[in-house]
Amino acid sequence: MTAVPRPVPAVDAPELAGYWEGVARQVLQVPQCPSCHALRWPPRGACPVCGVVEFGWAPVPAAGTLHSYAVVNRAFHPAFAGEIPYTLCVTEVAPGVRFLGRLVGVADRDIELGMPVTAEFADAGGARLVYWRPTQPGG
Amino acid sequence: MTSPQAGASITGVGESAFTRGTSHSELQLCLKAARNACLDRECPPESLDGLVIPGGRKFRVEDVVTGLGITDLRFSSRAELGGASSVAAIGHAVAAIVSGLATRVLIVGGWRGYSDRRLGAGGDDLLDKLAQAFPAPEFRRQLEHPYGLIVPLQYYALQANRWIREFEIDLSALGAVSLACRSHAQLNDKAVMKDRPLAIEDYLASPIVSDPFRVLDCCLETDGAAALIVEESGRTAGGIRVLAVAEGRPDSPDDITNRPDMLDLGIAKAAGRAFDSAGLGPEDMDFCELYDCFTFVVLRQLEEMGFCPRGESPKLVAERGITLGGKLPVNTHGGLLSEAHVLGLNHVTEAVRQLRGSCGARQVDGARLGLVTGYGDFGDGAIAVMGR
Repeated sequence: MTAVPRPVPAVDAPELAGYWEGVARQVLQVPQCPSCHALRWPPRGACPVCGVVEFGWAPVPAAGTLHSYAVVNRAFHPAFAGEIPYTLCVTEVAPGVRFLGRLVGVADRDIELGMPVTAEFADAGGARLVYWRPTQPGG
Repeated sequence: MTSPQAGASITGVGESAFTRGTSHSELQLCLKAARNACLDRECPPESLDGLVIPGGRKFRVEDVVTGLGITDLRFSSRAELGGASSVAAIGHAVAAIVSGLATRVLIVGGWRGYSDRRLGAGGDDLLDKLAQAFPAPEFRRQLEHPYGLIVPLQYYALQANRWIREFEIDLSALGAVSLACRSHAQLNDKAVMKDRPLAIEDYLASPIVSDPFRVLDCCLETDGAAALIVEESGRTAGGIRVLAVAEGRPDSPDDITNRPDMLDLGIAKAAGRAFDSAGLGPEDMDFCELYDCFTFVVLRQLEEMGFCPRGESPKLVAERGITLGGKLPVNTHGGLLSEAHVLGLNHVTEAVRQLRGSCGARQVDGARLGLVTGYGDFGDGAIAVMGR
């Protein structure tokens, strides 16, 4: 076993603080331009249309569809050595809003692009992270 | 029609040794390569009056000025497109030449890719280095590293799976790229993988790093440097003309996750510009030296440059043949996969030598036109179309 800690998000990084504050409450939220109301994710400092730099935070669905995935078979950081193999995923929850996360609860051979997935919030190495699991029928 | 970019040529090329292990610093490797380029050009190093340094190097302009004894450097710049910087740097040099800002521009880059911290070795000091090397380091630290998305291969695996699923890709094409590069390296005395031929059985036995990529889909990590000299065309006999050069970025260049079309690459924009400017197209190229950090990237560039529709590069590779003797020789020196990882500058030096006709056993017969690409970060691209 390794004593190397997992990399954790810095909760005080200003442009992403609202995102992590939401995750702590088990809510996914992204910056929204108060002028054109577009969701601007990931946050890039200014709305590229309006030039606005002060954003509000708007909730987005904690469920979406699988856009892509990657099964990782080799750790490039010792903190992840015990988690191999793990599956990274990109989930689309709204037009233009996708999250990078972990896919769980599905065998590699059963992964399909476009499959519905639902967010789960779990603590790992001192940070609350978002995991995505195939949505159960009727769930 | 005369393009302004037709006014410059590459008149000298040089390299350091390519090794796995060195006692020299990055700067020393680069100074060696620069001196060799000057010997090739038969010009004294002090006569250089322009310098372009491709992305992320540890040394500064002043180190090159003092290390080469340059007496009057009139132009300097840095290209910052990750692995595409080496080819993008040619654009800086050409612009300096045709605008009169400089007359003899050195492009030099290299690194201790083996002897310094190696990506392939993993390790806990990797994260800051990678975050800083990529655009938008906060996205990397905040949104990706906590999930274990860390190294380029993993980002490209996200793209590859989308490509494979959408177009029902025949994965044997990845192996074909790996084997083609290795076979070319057998004809290249500078190649780190010379005398280490590769069979398809070896490729298929190579461990998966991140599905679908095997160890043998990944480039080498080596120590070495390479250098080019760019001048106005016609200043010396035997220069290789830069017929067009261009750089391009994909949409959302700092984030693959939210790129509207996850398969978009900057080379699509760059290649369109370059081919239009040169009045040429993919079908005119006698060979291609394509940035090959991973086999997958070679195939995707062929598609996005217009050699074939998206999803059809496996068919193109199988039908036209990318090994020497085929209709579309790719990476005739062995590439980053089997010659050495010299930031793609070694692709440019190889293209120049192919167009000079000086490649010996690996010479493409009658090569008159060729292209070189660079690929960096999350899909930035650069292309140079060259001819003799």
